[in-house]
Amino acid sequence: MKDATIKLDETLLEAIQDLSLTARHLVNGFLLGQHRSALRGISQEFVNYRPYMPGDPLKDVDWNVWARSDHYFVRQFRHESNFRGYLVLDASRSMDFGEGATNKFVYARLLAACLASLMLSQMDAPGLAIIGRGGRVDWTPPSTRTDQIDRLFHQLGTTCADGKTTGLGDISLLTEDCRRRSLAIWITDGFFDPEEGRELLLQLRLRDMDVLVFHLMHREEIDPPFDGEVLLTDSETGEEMIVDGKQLRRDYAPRLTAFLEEIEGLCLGLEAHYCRIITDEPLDEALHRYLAVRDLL
Amino acid sequence: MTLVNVFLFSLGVLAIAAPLWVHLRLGRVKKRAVVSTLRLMRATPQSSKSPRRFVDIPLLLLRSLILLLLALGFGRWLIPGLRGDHTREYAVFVLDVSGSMQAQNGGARVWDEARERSLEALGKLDLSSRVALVLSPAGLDRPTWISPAEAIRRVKALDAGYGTNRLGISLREGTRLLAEMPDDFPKVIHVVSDFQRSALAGIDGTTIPAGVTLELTKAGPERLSNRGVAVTVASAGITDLGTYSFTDLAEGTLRLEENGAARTLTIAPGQEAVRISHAGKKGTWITRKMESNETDAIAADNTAWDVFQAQEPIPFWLWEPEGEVVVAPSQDASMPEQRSSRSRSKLQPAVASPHAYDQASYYIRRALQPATEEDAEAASRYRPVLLTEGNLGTAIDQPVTAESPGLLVLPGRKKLAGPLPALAKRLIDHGGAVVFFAGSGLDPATFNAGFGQVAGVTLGAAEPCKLAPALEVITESNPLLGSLDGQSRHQLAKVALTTRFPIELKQGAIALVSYADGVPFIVEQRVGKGRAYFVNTSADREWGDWAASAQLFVPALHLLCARAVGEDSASATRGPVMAGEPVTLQLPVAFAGKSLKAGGGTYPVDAEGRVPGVIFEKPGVNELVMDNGAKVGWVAANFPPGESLLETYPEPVVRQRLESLRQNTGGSSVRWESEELGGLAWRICLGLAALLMMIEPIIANRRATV
Repeated sequence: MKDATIKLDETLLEAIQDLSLTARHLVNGFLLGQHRSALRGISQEFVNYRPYMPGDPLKDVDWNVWARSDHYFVRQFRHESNFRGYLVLDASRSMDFGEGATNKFVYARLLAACLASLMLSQMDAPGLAIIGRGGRVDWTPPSTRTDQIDRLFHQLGTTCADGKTTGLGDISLLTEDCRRRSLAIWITDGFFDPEEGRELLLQLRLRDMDVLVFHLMHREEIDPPFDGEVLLTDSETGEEMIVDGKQLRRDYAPRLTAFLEEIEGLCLGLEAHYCRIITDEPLDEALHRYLAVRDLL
Repeated sequence: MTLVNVFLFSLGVLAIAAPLWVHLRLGRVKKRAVVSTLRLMRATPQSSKSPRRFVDIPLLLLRSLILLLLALGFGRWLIPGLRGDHTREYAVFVLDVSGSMQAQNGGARVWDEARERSLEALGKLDLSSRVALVLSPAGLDRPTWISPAEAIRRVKALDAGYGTNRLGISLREGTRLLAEMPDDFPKVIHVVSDFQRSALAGIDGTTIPAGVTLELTKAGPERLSNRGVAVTVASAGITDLGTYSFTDLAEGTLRLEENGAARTLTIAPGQEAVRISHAGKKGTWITRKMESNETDAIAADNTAWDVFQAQEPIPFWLWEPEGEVVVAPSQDASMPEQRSSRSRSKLQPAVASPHAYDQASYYIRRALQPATEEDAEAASRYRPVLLTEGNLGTAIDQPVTAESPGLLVLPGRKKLAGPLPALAKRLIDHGGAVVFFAGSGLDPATFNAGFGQVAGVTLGAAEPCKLAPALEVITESNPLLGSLDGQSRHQLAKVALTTRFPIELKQGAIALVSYADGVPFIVEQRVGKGRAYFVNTSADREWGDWAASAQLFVPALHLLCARAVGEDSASATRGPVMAGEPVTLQLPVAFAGKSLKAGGGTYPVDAEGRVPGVIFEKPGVNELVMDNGAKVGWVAANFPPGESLLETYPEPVVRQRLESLRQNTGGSSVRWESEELGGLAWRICLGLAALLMMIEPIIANRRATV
């Protein structure tokens, strides 16, 4: 698995402006190290034979071949997914923090694109909901159509983190569409109203959806680099506050810990999967976490 | 900066406090940052805002440095130590406050420029320097060593006076003051002057010691136009001449105000003087004010003053043989009252024709009454009456009255007609006087026979005189010539006298002045109230140069004639008084030991009645009052004529003259102010401050961005 580490090379990102190319490049590289069997599933479409291995279910043995050749072969079929992946992207203004590739929204878009690409490669149906824009929700329903990836990439490429956290948005359309088992992947920085976040997670869980929360944090949000007195401005509300660097470092750590525990507790309390990611970390951690959750479905 | 000076101390505190305040003020929002949310932040408690803490010390130091450099750069006028050319020295400032400094130069006075330059030079001195202000001419205050700040205060309050710049005296005073000080700091004499030619006149006797630097600052232009009436009054007393000369007055009019009565005098082109007699009603004080209508550089010299106590006219017989002198008609039409008071036939001024005149009588007449065709007014009390062979009989028959001539002057001529001894004896018998002059035409035998008894001398044959000096030392106590100033007495003793008579004095005759070998030069014989005088040289140039030298002959002849007619010349003696110049006043001995109030000061009267060192600050008429209120007379002070000329020496000449005064010849220690190196320190301060001010925003923005 170590070989499949995806490095977020800034020069690469700058050279490849197209989000889809970037996502595909990253996902293909990631898949090279994966075990192929995991991609096989139950389907009516024959793919190949392979010798019988101890442990294989006997129902998969092709007895006609055994009758003609006196050897046991197992029939393989293309996996046909009934899985829907709902990518919920937080586009509030607080996501636009950090420089270059470590910018939270840049990281989130790329993560969403990679997940969408990964889903389609696994014959899953990805959908995209962009929330956190003052109650407005940009909704792209899940689909396995070949042009779905293009729509998603276009949607991701044209979205900016300019919304406000107040009002995560009405996701009734999204939840009503959930008729089969599906996975909702919420990519957010957690700076939302706790009650609204709880309401959103609750709605998703009530639809029998598995929820995976990617909690993005910038390194400077973990360890603020301020020194001396600094005038801080809230990116969403414009509120200003003068803080002292030294005192901030003393007070910030417990407040951050409480905040992270609050978000994680919220997720775990509603049986949602929680994954905290620092934006200067490799992207494959998030993809592995996705696959792990995916396998549980 | 010093704690002693409150102002500079406050300035220093301000220079320190200002950048701190600015830094704290700007430091409130010095760094800005945008964060995702403030939910995790906590505002700095209020207690940490006040007192504010100093953050970003390098930026604070940078701002402090900028302000300090600016303060130093612009504070160079207040902080002498900042400038590159500042020095700690013993500085004597010789300030020219003479009358010429009042000249207007383009709307401002030369003194204003000199004062500014002086203050500028004083401002360059270190605070620990010592300064002495020597005024030229010196006033009543004696210079002392003071601080530069005190010197600046005094110079600001100083104004130009009306006296004559005596640079030599001032330099000697400056060197004397510097000699009092130790040699731990440089010694400099700053001379701030317009360097008039008259100022350098008496400078040759001055010596500048080694180690003393002369620093010259010239104020005013090379030359200004001035057409003043700078009047020289040859006043009553020794010469008894009322002569008012003026400088550069081409033509125009003069307004003469005499005891309130005004009239206008017309000045012809080329005329340099007017002569108006001091004759009048005896004992009356007369004040004359002469004003020119010129507008020129110096206004103060356009008015001249004279005050005198009028004396009665003194008619005298002057022996002129018939046919050698022509009588010229009167030319003055502006003085009808005076002309009518004279006898047209006898009292008219006589002018010798160019082809026939007697030199001796001409010299005598012009010395006692120098009237000319241009200004036929009588310029002295002496009114010559020509005595010829034609009117000799009339003169003898004329009754002796107060108005008739009581003095007979006889040049040494061949023709000493028969009735002349009788006239001389008659005059002496009636209290008159006779003055005899020797000469080549005088026959000793004839003289001894006719006048020997009257004159009190017996003449021998004429003999050459080769003495040098010709006369004995004439002291101040000489009964005849003692009232002359020392220089005049000294020069008179050295005058060339080539021929004389050996003289034997008769009983009662005394020699007032003698030759160096004891032969009488002037003999006095008193007979009753009458007096006879014999002058043992000619009144022309045959036996010497005395009569041809007006400066020596005229005063001496006036003194002789005054003595002859019984006037006390010493008590009436007073020369021209110049404003700002110390003069010695002579008062009656009765006032000895008392105090005289004059010119704004009080002066003691010594045992001989003299009051030395009296200074009249401004031109005008000043009353002399004793401390008990008794009024003893008047004195007129005038603007010095030398200060009206406004002619300055070029810079190299002044430099060379002053360099010649130095005791050592190695190198030149005389420098002009323009040669000083300008201080570079303040320029560097301002330049560096400007550079840092450009850099500061960049640094501040960089450090404020997180």
